[in-house]
Amino acid sequence: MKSQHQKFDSLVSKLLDGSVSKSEFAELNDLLVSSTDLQHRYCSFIRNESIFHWENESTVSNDESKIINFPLFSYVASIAAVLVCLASALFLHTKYSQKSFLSNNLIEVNQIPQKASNEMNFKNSQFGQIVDHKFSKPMHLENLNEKAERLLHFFESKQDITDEGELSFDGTLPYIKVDELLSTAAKSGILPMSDGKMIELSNMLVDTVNQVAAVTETLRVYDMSSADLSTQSSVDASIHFNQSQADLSDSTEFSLSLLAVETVENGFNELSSTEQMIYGDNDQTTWEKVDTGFAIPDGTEYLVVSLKAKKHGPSALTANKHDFFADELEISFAGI
Amino acid sequence: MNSVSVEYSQKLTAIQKSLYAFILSMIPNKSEAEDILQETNLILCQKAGEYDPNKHFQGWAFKIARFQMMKHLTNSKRNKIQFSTDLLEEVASEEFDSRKIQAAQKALSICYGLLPKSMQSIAKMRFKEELSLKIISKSVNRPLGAISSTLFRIRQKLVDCVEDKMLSVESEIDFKKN
Repeated sequence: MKSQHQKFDSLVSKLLDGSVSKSEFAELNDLLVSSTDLQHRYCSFIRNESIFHWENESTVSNDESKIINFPLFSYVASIAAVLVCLASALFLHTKYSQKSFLSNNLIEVNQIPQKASNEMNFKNSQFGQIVDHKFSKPMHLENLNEKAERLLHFFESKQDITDEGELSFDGTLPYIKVDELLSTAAKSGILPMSDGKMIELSNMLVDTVNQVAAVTETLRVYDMSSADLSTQSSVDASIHFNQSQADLSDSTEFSLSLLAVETVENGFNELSSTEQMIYGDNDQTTWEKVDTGFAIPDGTEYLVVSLKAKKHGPSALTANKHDFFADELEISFAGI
Repeated sequence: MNSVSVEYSQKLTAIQKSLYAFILSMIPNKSEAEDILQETNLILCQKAGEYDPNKHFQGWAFKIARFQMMKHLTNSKRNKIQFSTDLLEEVASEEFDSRKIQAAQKALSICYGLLPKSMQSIAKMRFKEELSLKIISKSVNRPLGAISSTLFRIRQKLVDCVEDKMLSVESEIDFKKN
């Protein structure tokens, strides 16, 4: 019996590590079919794997208090998160079903009163209103996605070609334009604003444990090293956001970020940044505009333009099934 | 707008670990299991109005998860490493009951603490940080095969230990509730 367990356990372990061969899988399947005891044992392996998957790092500890407290904390925290979101959605639905929801369940921008937005835990914002995070929530260099870093290295290494964007010029200012590669025609009931094309963000990455989903796209990287910067140099940027119909009708955080970067001995250093956020609604016929800008600090060698979409709560669990779009990106420089 | 009651959302939240384990048991690939879990959650939200509160919520949720898995099995052409949904359904429903998961979670925490430090370190990298075997192998400077064998022994120790502790943990939980 023990030897059978050894073989069985080894096959299950390989299965869970993704290294089981087809013949080994068939053998495992036969063992499971032949024995209810082994089915129970298999489920015990899966149960442990699943529990580890759901726990946060601090739980795996010898701290006895955590061993006892974790399950309660986990459930209370997740229930609280769901309650806030779902109760809010229910509140909106019942209180504002006549005025704030169109016949196809879309939230109309700017019609949700302050009370509702407070209940939705959206702090001081309303749908369609901009939350100014300028300088209060800087985008740190370590938060740059891999693509942005690769594009910075592309400029640094003086290469001629990158397949991750198109080398363009704004006057004499060279930049890599990624937005063209992300462009799509009308999709998921969303029509581009003017020229038949819009930017489609990649699928959101979902953190099911914390019920958060997000995607970041780097749209442009400007090489400012040859620009004649002064105290008057500044940049302004704007973009519009939209999203496909979501079954759970809560909003998405969209943000536009600018990041001024200099090169240092071991890589790159952030000189200044700004991030402007807006809560997008669930109305596919309207686009929410966000704009931002800042004085370009002396010594800036690169300027990174990126955008982010983020969802919290139950709707985050299915966020990778939804589509998020941006359009009409405008970047203008002054004093250069 | 789908109206989801507070009670329903509590039940849905409380059952996430059970649902994930149920799906993972039949489709033993974490990323696919997560995708199916998300699809199942969405359907469960959409069908909230159809749920009869007098019926067992887990049974209702597992039934929807099973349907989503069958849909996945039909559509999946590449990955054949998945079990028939009939094979484990009965045992899985019993083993992944949320009460049993709660007890197993507590037992597992105790058992993890009993592992030698070297095993804890590898277990943490694999189970918590979900690092690949290749990265773990580089990180601890040991051959891939050795990591695979260690993980097998860790899993085996944990399963046996949890099995051993489950009864007393379940009794303790029952005692505290009463």
